[in-house]
Amino acid sequence: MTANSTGAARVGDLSEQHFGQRLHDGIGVQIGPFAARIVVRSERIVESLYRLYRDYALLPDDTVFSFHVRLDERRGVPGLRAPRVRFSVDGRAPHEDMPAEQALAVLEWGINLVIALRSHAFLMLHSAIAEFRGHAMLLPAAPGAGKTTLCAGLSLSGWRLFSDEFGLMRPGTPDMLPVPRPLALKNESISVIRGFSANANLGPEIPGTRKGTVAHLRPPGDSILRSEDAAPVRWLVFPEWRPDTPCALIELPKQEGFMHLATNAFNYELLGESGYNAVATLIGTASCHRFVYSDLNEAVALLTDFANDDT
Amino acid sequence: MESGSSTYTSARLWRSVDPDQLLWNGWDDEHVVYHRPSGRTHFLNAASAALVQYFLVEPRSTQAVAMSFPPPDGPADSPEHHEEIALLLARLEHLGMIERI
Repeated sequence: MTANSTGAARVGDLSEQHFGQRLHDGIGVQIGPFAARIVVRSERIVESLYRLYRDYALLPDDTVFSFHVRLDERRGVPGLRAPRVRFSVDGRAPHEDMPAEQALAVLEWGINLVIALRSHAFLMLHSAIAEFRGHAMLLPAAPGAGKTTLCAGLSLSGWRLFSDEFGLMRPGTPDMLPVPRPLALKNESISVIRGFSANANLGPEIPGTRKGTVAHLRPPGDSILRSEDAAPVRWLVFPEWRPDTPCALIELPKQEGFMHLATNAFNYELLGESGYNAVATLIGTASCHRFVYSDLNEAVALLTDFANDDT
Repeated sequence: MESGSSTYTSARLWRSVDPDQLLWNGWDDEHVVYHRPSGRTHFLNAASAALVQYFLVEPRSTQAVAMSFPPPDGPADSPEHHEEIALLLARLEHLGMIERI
């Protein structure tokens, strides 16, 4: 194993076989501000994880980890019970076992779940974020609004990926922290992203999950290498995918932006006064907009032109 | 909660709560207020914010408030207007932003 030019050894510095062995015994990787220790005892997803996690920095075993997650495959009984996987965090399974063919999605959702439930040192917004010329665009939305697709399109078009899921802000600072993760594309979004860019590197399609068919897009390497570089929010854009609708970016009153942002946060009420102050800081410094789109190419072009003109 | 008419006809006075209980931010005449004792966030329009921030810094009666905030299309001393003001005051009291003395 060798250290690369940034000083940290990366998953891709290991051979796939060595990576598989390390996964079996437990491997430490840096995911944004989180030090994760991951154990996977399911051979079927080693290759996919190797591709998706290629650029993540490896951590030594004596790291104080933010969380320990584990995925165990349990053999089935022919004709009676299909193989299952169990996701656990710090030795506890937060949900029932899932079909083994969904192992990759179960692990990825499990890591997101752990981040969502435990990261209360941050104001945690349910939001995608991408950065353009040193300024972050926050894209908060409920599931199904198209924020992951939009974020994937931006990150494949020169924007730096912060996250398709978590807007992390340390209260008391104006900056958002990157937590780049594989982007879980769902259903029609998979073919949209395949058609959008030849550089889209997707993992296997996983049908039949609770969210339909899922495929994971590998985060751009540069976004992971720069995952310690925070950025202030300049734009708050609430996206909504609406079929057969032309792109429109409409300014939103700040009070309405505050309400949408606070209700989109995972832990606004839990943080109390510091959460209020953090959202007020965001609203005070960023412009607020509603954004409707149906065509991803048009959407990325419009947001890029907008950001270009505003920086 | 008392009915509006019984509230406004009483002689009680209203005032803002201790300013340290509230954190204010405002944009475009709209206000977002954090109420420290409850940990809740409230959204106020310009008139409600002005009522809490300026008019009730000193104790005032429901009637005095009604006269300070006349309706756009009617007399300030009408029972209907006083009842509207009484309901607004009761609502602000419920939110912990003003108190009766």
